[in-house]
Amino acid sequence: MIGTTFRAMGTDVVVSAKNKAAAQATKSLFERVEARCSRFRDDSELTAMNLAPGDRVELSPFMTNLIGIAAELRDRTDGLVDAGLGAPLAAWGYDRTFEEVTDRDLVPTRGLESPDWRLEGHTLIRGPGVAIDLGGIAKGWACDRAVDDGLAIMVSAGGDVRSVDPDLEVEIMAPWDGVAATVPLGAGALATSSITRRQWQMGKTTAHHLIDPRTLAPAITPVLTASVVAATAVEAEAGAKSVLLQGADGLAWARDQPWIDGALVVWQDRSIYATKNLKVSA
Amino acid sequence: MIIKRLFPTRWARITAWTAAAIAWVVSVLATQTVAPSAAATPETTDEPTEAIAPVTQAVEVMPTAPEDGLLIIRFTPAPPPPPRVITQTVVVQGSGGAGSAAPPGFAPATPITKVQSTGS
Repeated sequence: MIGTTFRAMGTDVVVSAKNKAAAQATKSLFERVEARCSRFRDDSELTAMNLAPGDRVELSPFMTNLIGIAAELRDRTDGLVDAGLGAPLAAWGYDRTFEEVTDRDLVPTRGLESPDWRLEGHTLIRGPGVAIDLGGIAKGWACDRAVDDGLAIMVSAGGDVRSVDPDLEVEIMAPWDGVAATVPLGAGALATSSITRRQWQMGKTTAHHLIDPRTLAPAITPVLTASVVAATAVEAEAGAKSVLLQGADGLAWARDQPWIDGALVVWQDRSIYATKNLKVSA
Repeated sequence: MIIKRLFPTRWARITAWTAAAIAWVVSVLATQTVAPSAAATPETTDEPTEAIAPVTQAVEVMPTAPEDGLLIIRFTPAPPPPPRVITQTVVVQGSGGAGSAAPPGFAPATPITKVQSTGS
């Protein structure tokens, strides 16, 4: 067994694999997915899709699969996790890689509309100005694919972890760099969303990358970080975002979702709460 | 009588007595410059009153380097050196048996049993 770490999708990726060939294949997988799904690359398939004229865009099977997952997760989260928020996210300053995002003087006040999009077969149908952002979904999907295809035993990409290692433990990190909880994940997935990791200033407003579709602005929530355990990384990623966006109602919502196996939040006063079904180590 | 024989004229005697008087005055002044009187007050000097220190003692009292502060011996402004490109190749042993080195970045490791989820 070997371990490797590389940089992809704007984050550090940690891989545990049976051999070097499998680890290299995992790295190549992440590079291919990033090349097709990055909204910061002019030559990516996603950029071409977003810039295509008209309200109907024919998609490749690869993109159809990801857009279909995005549509499914939007339904599961009652519209809170919406991949169509690329335009508001860019308007709020995240229009380049995070390393290049700079503080700005003005807050966007007009021109933002709720995204209207749907998938019919291999065709994306969208309203004017809708831009798809597959950042979180693409990262989770790459973790899932690497494990499901037998390339990796464990993949950790940013806040997303997917594993088939029965002995794997995941330390959920608190915003103050302490360990909020240790979860004996084993085979499964865990994802953490945070409003404290990627921040910048827009005038006097502190912006971050989690846009609330109800306000089309960075979410205002008492939850600093939210973590969700689920069967796959894409589900855990969407669940964590939804819990965070729902604030005080997040854990109750997570408890009632059959596809969520546990959730934990770090409150703004540093308190830590979790659903009863979340397994936590000492 | 003898003087009259030696200096028979009146002007010769005057000259002789004058010369003798000048010689006496000069001799008196010269004696005072060379040997001051014992009653004169001695001048003070910086001469040490103790015995002269031996050489070894002089070495021991030499100044030592300051323990704090910055001692600038010499400052010569100079442009920074040009950047250097450092290439480092790391070869590690993979799990495929002897001689199968893994590419850089891959490390044989004990199983990763714990990772962190920091949030995205």
